[in-house]
Amino acid sequence: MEEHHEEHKKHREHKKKETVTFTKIGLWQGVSGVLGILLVLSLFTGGFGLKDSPSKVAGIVPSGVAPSAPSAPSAGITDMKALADDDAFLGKKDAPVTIVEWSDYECPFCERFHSQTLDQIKSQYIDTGKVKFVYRDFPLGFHDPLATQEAMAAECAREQGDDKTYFDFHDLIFKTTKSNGNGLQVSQLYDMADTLGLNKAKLIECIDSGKYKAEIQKDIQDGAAAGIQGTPGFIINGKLVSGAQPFSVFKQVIDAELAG
Amino acid sequence: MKNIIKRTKEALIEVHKNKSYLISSLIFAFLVFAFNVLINNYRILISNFTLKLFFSLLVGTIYVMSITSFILLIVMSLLSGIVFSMSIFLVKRQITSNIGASSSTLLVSLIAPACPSCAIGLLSTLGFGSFLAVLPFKGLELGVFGVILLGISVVYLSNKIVTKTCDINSNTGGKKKWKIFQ
Repeated sequence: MEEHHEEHKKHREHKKKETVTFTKIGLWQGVSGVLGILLVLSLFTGGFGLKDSPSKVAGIVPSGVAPSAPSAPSAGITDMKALADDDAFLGKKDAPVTIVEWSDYECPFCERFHSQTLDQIKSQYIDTGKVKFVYRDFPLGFHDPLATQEAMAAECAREQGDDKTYFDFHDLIFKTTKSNGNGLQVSQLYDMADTLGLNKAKLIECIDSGKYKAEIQKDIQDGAAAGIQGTPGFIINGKLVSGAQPFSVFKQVIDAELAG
Repeated sequence: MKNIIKRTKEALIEVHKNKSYLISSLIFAFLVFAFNVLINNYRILISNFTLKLFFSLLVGTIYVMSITSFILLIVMSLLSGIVFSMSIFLVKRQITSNIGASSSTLLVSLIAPACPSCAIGLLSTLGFGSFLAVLPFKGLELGVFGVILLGISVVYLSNKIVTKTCDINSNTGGKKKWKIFQ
């Protein structure tokens, strides 16, 4: 009995002394392998499924379509009417190409797109009836509260007029702001009502009421579901274009859509 | 410090005096750069592929990111190219012990230079833009981190390239071992 106990003890001690040895390269290779596998997995699962799936927002992508796609819509399957929602737009309502932009008034890249590219798109495609350009809000958290206030102000301006009033206000914000979340004073936002001949008191009351907060939230949700990963982001007839790309990129995508 | 710079310079010259390594450095640097700037628009590139669109998107990089991010991306791409060539050089000289380290560092160059507000880089594409936005410099710190890691990797590989003797006292063939007791 005692012998058996001693043997068992020896066996345990022997087990204790067993070592597993890793060479330094082995360790690095292991880490690289794991990182590589995680990378591939995350590519196929859209960031391990951490992103909003398109199905979370009804009406953006028809149900049952592209269920495993990480976020961005595939060509031709996106319901552009649903994406355009009831937001302000430039151009012909039934133009063959629809561009929906998600943008943040305090994002410097959105300002860059507005000042350097939009005018060319407008003169060559929107004014000629080929493109309908819809603007939707995507105020980024780190540019708030100003970014959301600006988005609400533009909606409030639209309330006092039409889509032209909206875009006049919109243009004025982009011309005035210096971007990055502190580009202008809220009082300057109110003064824009005077500049455009709108009712200032009504505009202030509308902004303070926060009545368009839900509308802006919906814009953000729809954008996230459509695959927008940053601002500015665009869906052109179902195809995602990310960033303040130069006019040549938009021209090629629009021309391909018009030709096809 | 002077010694490190001297060794790194020597290693860079030794590797890149052969034109094929210089070309492989440049090609790999270009691939890393292109990967980072095209990853967010790969769908449009696949569905509407033309060389003109490809180059427009590459040139568009200047418009879609800040100067700081752009410079970081260029530096990181060049360093990645150098690490890649140095690794190949070591493999050819059959000093393979550092390849694991290099490949881990190269992965950083594919992940790091993300910019959440301009949607650049792999992390933004994978939906981690909002995580980056929480960081004090909105993800730019990852770019700096990447450059530092790649820099360390270049110095480390340079040491191996310049060193032309084997370690007498090592009974593991120059490989350090990590032991885990069970």
